[in-house]
Formats: sequence, structure tokens, C-alpha cells
Amino acid sequence: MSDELRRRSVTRDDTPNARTGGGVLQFIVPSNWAVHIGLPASAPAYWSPMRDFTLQATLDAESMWSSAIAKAITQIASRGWEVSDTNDSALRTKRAQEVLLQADDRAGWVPFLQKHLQNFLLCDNGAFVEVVRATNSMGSKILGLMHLDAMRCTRTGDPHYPVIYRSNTTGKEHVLRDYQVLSFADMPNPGDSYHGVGRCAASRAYKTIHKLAGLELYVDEKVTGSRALAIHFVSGLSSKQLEDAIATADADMKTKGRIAYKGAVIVPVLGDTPVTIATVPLAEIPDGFDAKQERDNAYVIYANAIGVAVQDIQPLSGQGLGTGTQTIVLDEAAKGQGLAAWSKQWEHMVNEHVLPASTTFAWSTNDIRDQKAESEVRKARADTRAVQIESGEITVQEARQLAVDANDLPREFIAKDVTPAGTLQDNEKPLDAVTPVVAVKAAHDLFAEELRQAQRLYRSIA
Amino acid sequence: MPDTPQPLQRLLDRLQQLISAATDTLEQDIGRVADWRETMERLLTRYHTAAYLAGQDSETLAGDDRKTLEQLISAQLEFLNNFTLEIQEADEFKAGWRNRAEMYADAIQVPYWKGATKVLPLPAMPGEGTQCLTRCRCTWEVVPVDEERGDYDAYWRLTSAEHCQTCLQRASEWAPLQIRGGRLV
Repeated sequence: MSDELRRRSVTRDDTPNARTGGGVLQFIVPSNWAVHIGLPASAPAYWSPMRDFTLQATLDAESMWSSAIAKAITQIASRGWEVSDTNDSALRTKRAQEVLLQADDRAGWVPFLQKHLQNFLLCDNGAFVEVVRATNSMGSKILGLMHLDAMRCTRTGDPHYPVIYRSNTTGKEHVLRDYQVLSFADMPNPGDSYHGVGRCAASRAYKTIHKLAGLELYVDEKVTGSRALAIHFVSGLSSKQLEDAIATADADMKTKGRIAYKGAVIVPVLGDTPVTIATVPLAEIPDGFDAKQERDNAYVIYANAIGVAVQDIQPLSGQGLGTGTQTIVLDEAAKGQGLAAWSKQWEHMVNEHVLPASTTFAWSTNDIRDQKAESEVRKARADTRAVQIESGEITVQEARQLAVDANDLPREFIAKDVTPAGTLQDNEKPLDAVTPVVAVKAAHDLFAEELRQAQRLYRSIA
Repeated sequence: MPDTPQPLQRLLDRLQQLISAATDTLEQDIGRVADWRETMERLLTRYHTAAYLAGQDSETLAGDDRKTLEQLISAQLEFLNNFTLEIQEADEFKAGWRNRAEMYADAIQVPYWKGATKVLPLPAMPGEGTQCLTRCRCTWEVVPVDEERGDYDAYWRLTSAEHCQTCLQRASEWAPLQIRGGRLV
């Protein structure tokens, strides 16, 4: 941790010092104990920290869920983004880029985002980012962003002091001001007593995760014989006869290299009746159960809960509209789900609470289809403007103004925006009084306009 | 102690009045920061140029003169950018902004002295790099030794005002700065 960032961050006490033997205790007590005793049939009551413990443990309980989470997070963490400044300040854009790329004390943007999104997807309490500042005052310089473990953050409901962070090692509580922390939650509960706790993807998909985990466990135990799956009552055999039979089978199995044969509990019942058997199943697949259908349903539920296209989890089978078109349709549908809300919230939070007024963060698309579509639309607008110029409907200057308003041209390409009111998108900053041209160009233009006035002024005072 | 040259003082007085009037309008309605900014840009450009002309005592500008002026104006517009952003982000007019706006007027003494001493390789103008910033009221006094050979003695003079450490130091060290054959010795 850089020295100044270390001193100012609320996580300063949690950072072990490897040179003085710190860090050993971290490995003694595992944090996701729930997986060791199996997921409960229902997650603990909403809402309690114990619930989030259990929800986080789902990551180790069911492999397809775990992979879906990893894929979704990787998609977001590998997305491109850009920072721009309406004053073309290279210093501001550089500084903004540094803050993001060196997030989590220079661990980097990608690891930071991976931790953050795991909290967002697996904790109803959501995800928290500390905005570390040089001093305690609101306008002071931002030194960096730090990920805060959601399990150690308590929402207070106080808009001025929204979060209390509890140190892992000392137990000390740090009360964070509203400008020192960014709080995220998926589907925040509208009830005021929940203080913004939401319902995360794991919460929404919990029942399915539990079912699928059980299904996979059943198959695993059936195949490996590691647990009794049924009780068989046998009549007409003594215990001794049964034990001899099992011992023989056991020895036979061992010579053939097959040790694991358990899977049945056999209880002999003495009597005069011939050998019969009655079986009481302890765990079995119900009649009519279709494992593939259940898995397919689970993938759709997982995809909807996380907010990714289902083909990201389950490859398309070529059914329905056809693979290519189906990909596009499903991809478009995914834009309205889960993580799409997080993307928008991140943009808003960073633009409103981290970056200066003239600097803007925006996601850039990696998708070639999106870029192609965008360029086609721009071309269509340019063609329309060309026709309007041709017909005399508008002048070249007016066409440039229209192009700037539509974001087809940078604002710097016109000397003065004559339609400044216009519209403002959610990821733009207002331009009320910000001069669109850089100072050097403005000085050049103004000088030419004001020279005569200056000469007149000189004559009046000389 | 020499006073501020009269043409410069007249320009300073006029510009301060105009900036004060523009800032009055801003104080009444902080939403009109765009108008205020445009007014400031035009005033600074016009008065910087007029000050340079007054310094050289001629209304003709050579190519280099224009370049020098544009650089000086550009620097002021950069400061104005930052000031404007602060105003935009505030909900109400803040104490200290009026004084800060009026300080922009004092910056015209730099082009004045550049115009007045442009043939001489002087290291800094009053208001340039001083702790008192644009409040500097010091002047250059240039005494020709042998104009044909390009020999001059230049003195940094303190006027009747409070002085910062930089100006006191300059007055002590640049007394005089010797220019011989058009070059600083």
C-alpha cells in the first residue's frame, strides 16, 4: 500500500506486514464454512449477515453456478472504458485513469472489479468501495479506490454516514462519510428499515443452486458409493451369512481393485420365510425426473439471475430461430438484466462522486456488432445532413452544429455551441459554462476579434 | 519610489470596474456563469492587448508580438477555465470570488511591461513569478547607457505598496541588471 493511501484508508489495520510475520492467521479460519456442512434447504432469513455467509458459500457448492459467476465477472472486468475531459485536460484524464487502473492499492482494475462484483452478485448487502481522500474534507484530493469486504460493512440508514466498516484484525469500527464510500446493491429493498440491502443474484437463484447441488451430489454418491442411498430389509438370511457374503464380496472387490462398493445398508431379518428383500430408499431421483431438463432450466435461471445471456452459460443447440440470430436476440435481451444495472450504476457513481465536473467515465463497447451498428447510424445521419445542405435547408455551419448535438463530431469542432440547452444523456456532464474550445485556440480566435477594440482603447488612454 | 505608469493605471482602473460589474451580475444569478465567462474572456483579451500597445506606445503589432500576446491570454484563459468550473459546481456565490475575479485585472501589467521592454532580454515582468502574483506594483526602470551599442541598465523598482519577498529580493539583486550589446550580462 502506498504510504499515504495506507494511512488514510479504513483498511489500514487489515493489511498484514509480511516482514513481521503477519498473514498466518488468515489461513486458519476458513470464511465459507457453510459449504463444509452442506447448503441448507433455504437460505437464512432475509436479511441477516448469516444469509450472506450462506449465499457466498454457493460459489463452492455448485460448479455450474460457480462457472457462470466467473464468466459474468470476467466479461465485465475485461470490458474497455474511457475517460474524457470537456476541457481536454490531459492532466485530468491521466489522473482519472490512474485512480481506476491502480484501484485497490495498485492491485489493479481487474482484480478490484472481480472482488467487487463477487460481493455484488453474492451478497444481499451489496458491494462497497472506499473513496480514499487526502483529508477528511469532502473536496480533498482522491488518493485511490479500495474494495471493502461487504461482510464487514454495516449499512446505517444515515445518508451522511451511510456505512460502518469493521476492521478484520482489531475489530475497530470506522464510520464512513457519504463522500468516502460508494455503496452498490442489486434490487435494493424498498423497505426503509433495510437501509438499501438488496436481493443479489445468489439470493434469487438460491433454490435452484441448492437443487442442482443436490442433484450433482446424488449422482456423485451413486457413482462413488460413498453414502448409503437405501435401506434393504432382507428376510431368510442370518447376520453371519450376510457378513460372510459381504466379506467375500469385499475381498473379491479388492482383488479386482474395486474398493468402493458401499451404497446400500442391508439388514437381515430372521424367519421361516424365503429370502425376500424390501428396500427403503433414502435418496433417489423421483419418477419422471429428467436431469438434462432440470440442468437446462437451471442455466436459464442462473443467466437471468446474474444478468448474462444464457448462451454464455449453456452453448446453443441450434434450436429455435437458428444459432446466429438466437445469439443476437438473447444478447439484446441480456442487456436489460442484472449486471447491466450495475454497469449503469457504476458509471453514475464514478461520474457524480469520484471524477471532477469536467471529466467523464464511460464504458466502451468491445462488441464489433455494436460498433458496426453505431457507425451505420452515424453514416445515415451524415447522409441526411448532406441532403439537407444540398437542398439549402441548412448551411454547413448548421450541419456541423447538428453533428455536434448528435455526438457525431467533437464539440471542439465548432467555435460556439448555439444550441447548448439540448439534451443531456445520463453519462454526460452539463456544459452550461464550460467553453468547448481549448484555451490556446480560444485565445487565437478572441485576439482576432478583439484587436480593433484594443487599438481603440489604447488610443483613448494614450 | 516610482508609481505605476499612468496609461497602465488607467487601464487597470477601467478593467477592474468592468470586471466588478460583470461579477455583480453573476452574484445576482449564479446560473449565468456562461455569460460571465464570455464577458471575462473578451475583457481579458482586449485589455491585455491594449496594455501591450500602451507599453510599447504604438498600436502596430509585429508577428512575434501577436504570438507573445496570445500566449499570455491563453494562460489567463486556462485559469479562467478552472475558476469557471468551481463556480459551476457551487450552489451559491461564494465570498472571495469577487476578489479573485478582480485579480485577473492586475494580470495586464505583464503584457504592459513586455511591450515596454520587449527589445530587452529581461528575465521577468512585474507580476510574473512573484509571491504577490498579479497584485505586484513594481516597475522596471530602464536607463540607456549606449543605445547604439545596445547597452542598458535595468532596475527593478518597488513602488509605494506592500511588497512580497520575491520583489524585495529582485529589488536588491536587479539593481541594476546589466545589458550589454543587447544581451544580459
